[in-house]
Amino acid sequence: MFLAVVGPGIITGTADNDAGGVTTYSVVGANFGYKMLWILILITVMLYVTQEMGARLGVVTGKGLGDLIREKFSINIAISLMALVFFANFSNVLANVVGIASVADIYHIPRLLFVPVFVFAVWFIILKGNFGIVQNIFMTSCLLFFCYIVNGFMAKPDIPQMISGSIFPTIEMNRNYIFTATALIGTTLTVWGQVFIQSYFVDKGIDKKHLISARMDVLFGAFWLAFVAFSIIISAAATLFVSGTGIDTAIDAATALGPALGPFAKHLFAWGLLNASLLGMCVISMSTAYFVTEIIGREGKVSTNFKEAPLFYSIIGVCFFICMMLVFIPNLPMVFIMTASQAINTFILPVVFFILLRLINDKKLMGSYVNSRTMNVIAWITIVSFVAISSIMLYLMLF
Amino acid sequence: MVYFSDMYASEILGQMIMDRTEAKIGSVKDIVLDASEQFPKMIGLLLNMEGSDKEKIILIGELNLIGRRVISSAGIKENTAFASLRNGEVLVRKDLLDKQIVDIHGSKVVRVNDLKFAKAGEEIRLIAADVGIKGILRRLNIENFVTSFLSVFGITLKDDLIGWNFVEPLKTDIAGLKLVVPYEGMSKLHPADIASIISQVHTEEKTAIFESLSTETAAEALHELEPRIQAFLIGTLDTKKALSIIEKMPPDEAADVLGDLQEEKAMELLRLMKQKKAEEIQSLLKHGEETAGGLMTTEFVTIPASFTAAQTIERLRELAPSAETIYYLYVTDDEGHLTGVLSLRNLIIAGHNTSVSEISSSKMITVKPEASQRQVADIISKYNLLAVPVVDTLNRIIGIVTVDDVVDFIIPPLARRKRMSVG
Repeated sequence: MFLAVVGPGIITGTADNDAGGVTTYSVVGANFGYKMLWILILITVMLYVTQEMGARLGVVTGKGLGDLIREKFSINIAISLMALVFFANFSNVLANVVGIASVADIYHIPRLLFVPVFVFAVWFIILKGNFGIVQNIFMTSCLLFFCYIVNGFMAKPDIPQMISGSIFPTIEMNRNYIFTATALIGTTLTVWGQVFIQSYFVDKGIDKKHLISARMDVLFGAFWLAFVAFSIIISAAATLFVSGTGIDTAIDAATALGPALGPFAKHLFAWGLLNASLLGMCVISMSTAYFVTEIIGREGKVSTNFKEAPLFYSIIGVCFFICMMLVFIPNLPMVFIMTASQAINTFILPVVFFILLRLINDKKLMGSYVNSRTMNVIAWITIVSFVAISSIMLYLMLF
Repeated sequence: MVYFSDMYASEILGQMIMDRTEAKIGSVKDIVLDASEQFPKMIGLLLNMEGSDKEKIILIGELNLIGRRVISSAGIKENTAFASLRNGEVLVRKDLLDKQIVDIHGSKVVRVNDLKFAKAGEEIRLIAADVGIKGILRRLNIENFVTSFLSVFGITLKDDLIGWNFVEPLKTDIAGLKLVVPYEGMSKLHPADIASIISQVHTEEKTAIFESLSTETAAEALHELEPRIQAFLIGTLDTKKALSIIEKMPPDEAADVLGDLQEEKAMELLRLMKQKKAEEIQSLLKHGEETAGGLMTTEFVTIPASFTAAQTIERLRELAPSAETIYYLYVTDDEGHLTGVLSLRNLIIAGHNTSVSEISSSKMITVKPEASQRQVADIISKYNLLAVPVVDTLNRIIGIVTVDDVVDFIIPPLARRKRMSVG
């Protein structure tokens, strides 16, 4: 039965390693070596705690986060959140379309040729595919992340250093270290991930009988995320950090990996980035579409066609199209866009977490599935530390 | 007697109520409805009392004006009688606004953005649910701003109202509303439309709606649903009910449903079923779902070549087969080999004593059980058939695939659903 439930957690966890994630991990490995690996343990816990609550809400109530916010909070809150989530998600989709464009740049293929092919292909799949097909494609994409793991071991990491970096926390009190560490956490805990996991469980129609399988799925997703992140960091650490090549973007990482590990590593990295960007743009734009249709009260399911759910597919289509047009603009201020999207995410996520806690402790809604006292304590610690970490990041980003 | 013209709930909620001397009584927190009639009657307003933290209900009879700017009572504050909430009464903000309802007319699940009231005779009644963008804008108090902004570009927003007689509230969301006969309106819909509604609501509601259907309707609606929803619904029903629904389905459809269930559950149902039916279904389950063998039904009529037209009609009356299997009768020899096919038309216009072999056609179009859905659909569409017989290697008829089993391949599903709801 587990196999019938599995999917949402793994897909959300893997999609967290989108273009922004891959870039951050490469930067972490190239600039700080193995020193930040221990943070991944922290991330795994935080991700599991928050995603599990989202999954439980979805499975028990059969409703998405947007539905519940609309029903349990005032319409003003619902609509304002809708606008904010739209913005935050939009900039994240853009970051992923830029990821696709970067792959075109790595191979010196014109963006105008490369990007539209993929953008239209994925929109067509989401539009025409039913739930099963779309999920299978997503799961395949999740498996393809394996190429980063191959990459990680090809790099012949320094095992003792890798282990000590994973177990012993090191904190350096300098601006650069703290900023990168907070960005690492900020890229994996996201508003869209929280929205997506809940709606996707609902769309899949998982019943509360299968809650345990759903939890395993979420747990597995959190581990897979950490494992992929781990591999990307060590591959950058074993090569770029050792040779002292500092990088800022994923393209830097791909081109720098070429001379260090041979062309095969470069291709693996580039195709991995393409895969990550495609999965990211699909999942994030679907998360937007779920949230908006739930709040407005329209049909929003993958197994429908355009006539039945016009708003759902239009939102995805419009997000894709505008982002595609934007990446054709030469000298797009990418750093600014990434920073802004992080900042918006950081502002909204605590609000979403707070709402999540309110909902999950609502006896009328959840019955016996409310949080236990221990779960609430863990959840609060997670949320408070996220707020603290992201405030530090925001401060460093702006001043 | 209260003065009132058409108004929305959002225009009433939050207003301050004054008495005759313009003293503040309280602000409107909610609207109280008597939901026992088709168009619920407004019976009072729930107030946050001015100057205290109490909530009380002021009855409609105490009021003399409910307007967009002013709501006023006929008497003075000190002499006003208040009531408390009774059983069977529904609160607009708490129970209806922002909740999901079923639009029976369009067989869609939508969200209530606002509610429209109108005066009918002496009573103020809830007449429609606003499910459109205008309702949301009105709730946010920006309707005028946005509509005048859009009018600059020549865009007008349309009202999106659903008459309350076409509204079916979701049972698990709105306790106490119209529960006397749950889903009464829905039971009048075509099973395909019911299926479309079931696929749109959340899991608990799916079960609730499905359980409220009669066995016949449930059997038909079940066939129209996606496999994973079918499996979920059958899984949640108690075995007895599940069994009676599956037994009502034609064997091919029942086999489809059982094929998607967990194996233990499917085996349990098969064991409990009438033996003949169970055997038919089991033989169908052997074939791949997407092949002629998986699509076919084992309900068809065969007649010996020696029969006359009168005997054949007599046989049909005895068997009384369901409509989908009657249009073609299959002529077989003693060993069950297919030798001819007789259309209902030819049978009816033939004379009493005409032999079946004279009026049946021996130019038969058949398919093998391994033929794909696509091939079967192409054959049915090419030869304009209503059904095509499936034969084994020895040319013995083992089932028929009817046009409705492959129509999804010929016409896309949505168009089909629309056609069915019209016709």
